[in-house]
Amino acid sequence: VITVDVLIVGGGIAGMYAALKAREKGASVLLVSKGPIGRSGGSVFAGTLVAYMDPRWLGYEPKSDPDEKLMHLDKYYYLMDGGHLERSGEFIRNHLLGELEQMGLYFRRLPDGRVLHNPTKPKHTWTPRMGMSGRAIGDVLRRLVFDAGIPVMEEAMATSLIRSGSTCLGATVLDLTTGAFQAIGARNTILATGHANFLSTRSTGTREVCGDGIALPYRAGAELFNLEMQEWHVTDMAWPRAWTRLHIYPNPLPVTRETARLVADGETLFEQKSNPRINKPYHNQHKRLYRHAIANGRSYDDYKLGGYYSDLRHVDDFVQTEYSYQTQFPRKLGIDPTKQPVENAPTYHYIVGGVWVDFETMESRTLARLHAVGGAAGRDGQTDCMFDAHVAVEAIAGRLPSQDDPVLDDGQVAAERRRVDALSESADASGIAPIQVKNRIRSIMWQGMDYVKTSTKMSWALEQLGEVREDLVPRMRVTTPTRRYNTDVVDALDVFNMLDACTLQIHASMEREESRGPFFREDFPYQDNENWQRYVIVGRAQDKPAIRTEPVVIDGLELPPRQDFFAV
Amino acid sequence: MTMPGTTATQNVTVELYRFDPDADTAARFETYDVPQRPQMRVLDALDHIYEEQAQTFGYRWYCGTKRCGMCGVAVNGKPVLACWEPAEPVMRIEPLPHFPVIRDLVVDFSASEQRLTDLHPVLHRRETYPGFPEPMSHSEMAAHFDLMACIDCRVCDAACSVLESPGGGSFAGPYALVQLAKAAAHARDDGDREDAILETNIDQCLSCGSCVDACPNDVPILVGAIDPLRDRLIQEGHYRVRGWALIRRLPARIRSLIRCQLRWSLGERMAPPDRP
Repeated sequence: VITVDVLIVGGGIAGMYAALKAREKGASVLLVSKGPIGRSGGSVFAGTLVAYMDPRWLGYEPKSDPDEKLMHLDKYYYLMDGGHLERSGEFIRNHLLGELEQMGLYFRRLPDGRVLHNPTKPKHTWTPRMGMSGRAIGDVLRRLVFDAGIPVMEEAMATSLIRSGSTCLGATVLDLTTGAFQAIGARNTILATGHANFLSTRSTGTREVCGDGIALPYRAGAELFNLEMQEWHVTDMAWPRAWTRLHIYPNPLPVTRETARLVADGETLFEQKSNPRINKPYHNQHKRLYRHAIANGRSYDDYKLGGYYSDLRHVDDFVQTEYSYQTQFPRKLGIDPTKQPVENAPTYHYIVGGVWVDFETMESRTLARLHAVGGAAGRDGQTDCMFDAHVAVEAIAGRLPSQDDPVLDDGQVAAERRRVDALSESADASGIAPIQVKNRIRSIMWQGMDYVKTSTKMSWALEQLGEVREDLVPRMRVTTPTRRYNTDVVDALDVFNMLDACTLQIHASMEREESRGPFFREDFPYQDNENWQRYVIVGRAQDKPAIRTEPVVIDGLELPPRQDFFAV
Repeated sequence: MTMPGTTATQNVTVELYRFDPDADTAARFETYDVPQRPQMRVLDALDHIYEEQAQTFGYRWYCGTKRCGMCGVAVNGKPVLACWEPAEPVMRIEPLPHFPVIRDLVVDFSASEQRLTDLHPVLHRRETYPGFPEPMSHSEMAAHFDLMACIDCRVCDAACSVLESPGGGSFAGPYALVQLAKAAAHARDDGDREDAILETNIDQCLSCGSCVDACPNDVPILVGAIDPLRDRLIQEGHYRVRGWALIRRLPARIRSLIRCQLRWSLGERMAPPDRP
């Protein structure tokens, strides 16, 4: 058993930043990442840097936007702690941007030396290009983590959290390259697993993100919140299949007010900030596009997609090639985006929720010593995720001197080892391969938990997931017993995590009888502020999901009791 | 524009490299037929074998969109990123050359990563940071910016005509040189890089341009990374290269023709000065 002060699970931007900060505090650190650090998970897709730029840095005073915090709460993030958002913005503006630049991150400059920005969205910047900001920050942090000699286990999956009563004491880890199983005792654990993206047939996630950050804390007794809040992309490339998650940004491109227009049959269905009629609310346009794809899309294998296009023909070629990483993709297919539109399709993005934390410390409210940061705590945006990491490390550093060594329950570790070992020991090429069970779950989510939700569809999905659990899982076998890079074993572990993550998401979604932000229910097509300005919180009781709600108190936000804009 | 069809009209034939060092005495090839899809990538074909035919094998990818840099393989002998290159009608797919095989198409980058880490390719800033945003022009940072396109896929190392083992004691390979050059090219970097550059055995590079041709992100590996590092050594008096200023201006392809001469010239390497 390895024992460390701080175990970090997840090697994206939040996890790496936490590792560097914890090391600065003198803590012993171990970073465990299911993929390569800085090069996997949601972080590699972070295209735009949300920088909360000071207008003085831009050299002009932008037109006053509605209050940022209220806008988030009203329209986008929904139900997030307002104080935390505000503190996050201050930290990013006053500290983080400078720290990143000092570390060597190059914020793209315009020819006159100003930082690259956008005239309509002054809080956006890019490093080095739109579409690659996450990689650029990931590169800087990754090199610093290695340079600092921080111990890292890459391509190693945390299979369970170890606990004693309601305290988290570390995690068990499976090394994908060698098949070695390891228990890690930790005085503090930081969960930085990112968003649970890859839960549906067309998903934005990387290969490995399958809901571990929901399933592991749930099974260890941590409560989760906002799991019903789930984002969709409507501007990801329709094909080829590998590029499902290639996002043609519908946000304004750098240095221009222009955005991609989404068109079908000569009609513009979506364009940010130009046409008030089709612009409000933002998520309503997603619904329209989703419906358009269902009605008019092409059938491709067993699901419909496409049927509408993102059109960049009105955007200067220079802007497209100089400032965007994305436009080279259609070019690779022989489609010149300055002359032709690019076919798009709706894509499952991520769950906005995560571990129900105290935002002053990012510690779980029900499982002590477990901190969740970034996507694992229902947060979004690279810079905001780094703020979470900062908060968690500060809280941990304060109590490190008085902490005892964690005493692990051998029985718990042995049982988990048996569960993992049993997968490769019962290898049988004639069983159902784990990847096929995963794809079945994704297909159920694609059909039953799409953008337009109804009670009927969700009940069907829940029932189907139950059948997977009872019928397919017992017949699931990894196909090879090898210890070397056996992704079958990881896939099998993913199946259990996905079943939990998806089931919890559906339960939370059925609970919320309204529509809000990215959450749309056709059977409740209105925002019900009177009854549903509440968090849906999912915990575990007698091995079953237990749901409760808590009111959201937002200072200064007054909304009408009911808003019907989702009924369009 | 080509439309994705519902039915495949023809197949792609994949000859897949299989090798598990724990179980097999030698590598073998297995052949699979995969239905052709419009605009299909190499990765789509691999996914089809793994997912639809449930013939699970070791292969690695994370993002599928040329960001993670983890899906490098050799297709018909040519190192490529599987997510980026189109599938060919007949593909012999092998692991990236020059790297030890973990299983099937999955190779071990750990020695390469360690060798790079030992070169300290991070910003060494001696002057006090003035606060955000640091006064800086894009042209000052243009050299660094160009190298930021590197996604660490090491397809260049796999294509390198000199490299034998990226972790070994000889030539460090183009990938490590790009990363070292990127750190050194930062406008605020004032680190002493000589030892690190010498440690890469950069003199062994033939300037053949194979790395540049293979790079999926058009990183200017020769003119943007290797040449500036060489310049630095030449300025510091570590090499004497006849006609270097002239040779340096030639395009990579021309240089590859005269690579023997260049190698001979670079062979006149002076002993590095004594170091404490």
